[in-house]
Amino acid sequence: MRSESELREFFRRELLPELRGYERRRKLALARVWNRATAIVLVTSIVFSFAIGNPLPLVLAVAWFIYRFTQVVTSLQHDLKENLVSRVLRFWNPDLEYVPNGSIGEDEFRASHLYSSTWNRYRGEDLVRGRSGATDFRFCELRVTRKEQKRSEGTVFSGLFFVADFHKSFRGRTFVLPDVAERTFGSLGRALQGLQSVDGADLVTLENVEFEKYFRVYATDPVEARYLLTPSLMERIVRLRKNGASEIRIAFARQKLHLAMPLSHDLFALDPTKSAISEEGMRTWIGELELAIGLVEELDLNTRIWSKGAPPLARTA
Amino acid sequence: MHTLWIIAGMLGIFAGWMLGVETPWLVAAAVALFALAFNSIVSAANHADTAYSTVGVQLQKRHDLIPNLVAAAERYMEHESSVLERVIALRAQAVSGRRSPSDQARLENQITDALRQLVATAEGYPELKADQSFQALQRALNEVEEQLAAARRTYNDAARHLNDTTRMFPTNLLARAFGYGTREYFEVRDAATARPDVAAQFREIRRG
Repeated sequence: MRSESELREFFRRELLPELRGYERRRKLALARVWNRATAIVLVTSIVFSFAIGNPLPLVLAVAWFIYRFTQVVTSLQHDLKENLVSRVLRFWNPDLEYVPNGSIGEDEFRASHLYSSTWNRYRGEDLVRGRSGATDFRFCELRVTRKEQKRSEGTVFSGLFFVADFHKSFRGRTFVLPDVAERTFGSLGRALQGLQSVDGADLVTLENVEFEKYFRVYATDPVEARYLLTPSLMERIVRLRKNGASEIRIAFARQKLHLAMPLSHDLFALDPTKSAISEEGMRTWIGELELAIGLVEELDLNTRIWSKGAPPLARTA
Repeated sequence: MHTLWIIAGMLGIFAGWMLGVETPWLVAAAVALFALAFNSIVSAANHADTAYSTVGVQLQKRHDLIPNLVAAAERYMEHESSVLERVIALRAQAVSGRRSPSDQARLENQITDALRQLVATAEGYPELKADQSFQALQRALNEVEEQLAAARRTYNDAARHLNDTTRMFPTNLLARAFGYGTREYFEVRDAATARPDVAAQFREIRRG
């Protein structure tokens, strides 16, 4: 991870010139949309509404304004992502690659079994893939929804989906899910959770009280669950949860760690209505990137003191 | 957790009796409740037995690794025979005879200490450190230690569950009647659960 001073220097030297250009385009684009919208709304409301006594032209003008505004915002955000994310990633780790329109496949998301609901729309973008230390990882933004009624959509998952090689060998499946029932209903909630099973995995009680307060764990093998969720990893997951990842879900399956972190906003998106030339604003933006890239270090996935990936044991006796 | 359902069941039977439910139904419910309570004790005891046998498997793996580790180390550590002898002696003691979980845990703690001393001493022998067999054995040992920690935690959880079942009302009455007792925990000192600070141990050895 880069230091605070390195980050400041990088911001001043690399990002600031780019951000100044972006800021000029942002102001120009917003001003253009705003001027045109004001003129059109004024004309339509004065000329048509009062003349023909019907508010429809005004409604259409407002709808057009919203449409144009969204278009401009999306285009600005797209440009910013294309230019800045790759630069920041290179600064952090030259081995990382950014694919703006790429995503982690639906099969992999389904195979994680982190969400049991069905869905009929799966969209993803902002794929980052590469290697940190000894660990291959990928993450992207996903929006998985299901059609509920004719026009409404229910969200199954919207946020950051992260997949990394896990540093230990395992065969079964272990799931770490948010614990809502026990926090709400206490022992009764726990008793009800015991009756539930997730993809053939049963409830396992772990000894870290704070971890148990936030999460419930289901595993196909309770010993393997404890092998994967060491006291140290449980503390790290709790820390992650306290640092804002409140509803994270983790699945250990197929030799990989899958982590789903719901987000209420678009990944890597700067607010186009606010100035981009602010070190503080940029720090928040970079903080999100840091959180995603830092998951490998935060979860200590680079420690390779175990047998996985090591040469076979030679006989010495 | 079964205790909660059993108490709920007892309250249900009592409520049924107060509401005038017919006796055969109440007897059937009481028999079902008895079966649930008895089975929960047997299940808890079986879980504890299975979990303890998993600890045994992991201990056996560790005991099997020790001769290989010592053999790899003694080729380079000719002047450290006391460290190696201590590991061998403790291992011989651990594989002989049966012990209670707490006695076994005490002995295994001593083996852990001796192995750490061996690894820390090996830090002073660059050739040994670079030896691929020794590196592979160290990885295997780390793996076994993690598996052992997981098995131990699983056993302690199973033992805690059995102890709760045999001590809590109303299952404690059945446990006493059918001779089910509590189990000892497989305790490991706090220091033993943490990753060893090899550098500190190495400095200590150099000083002393």
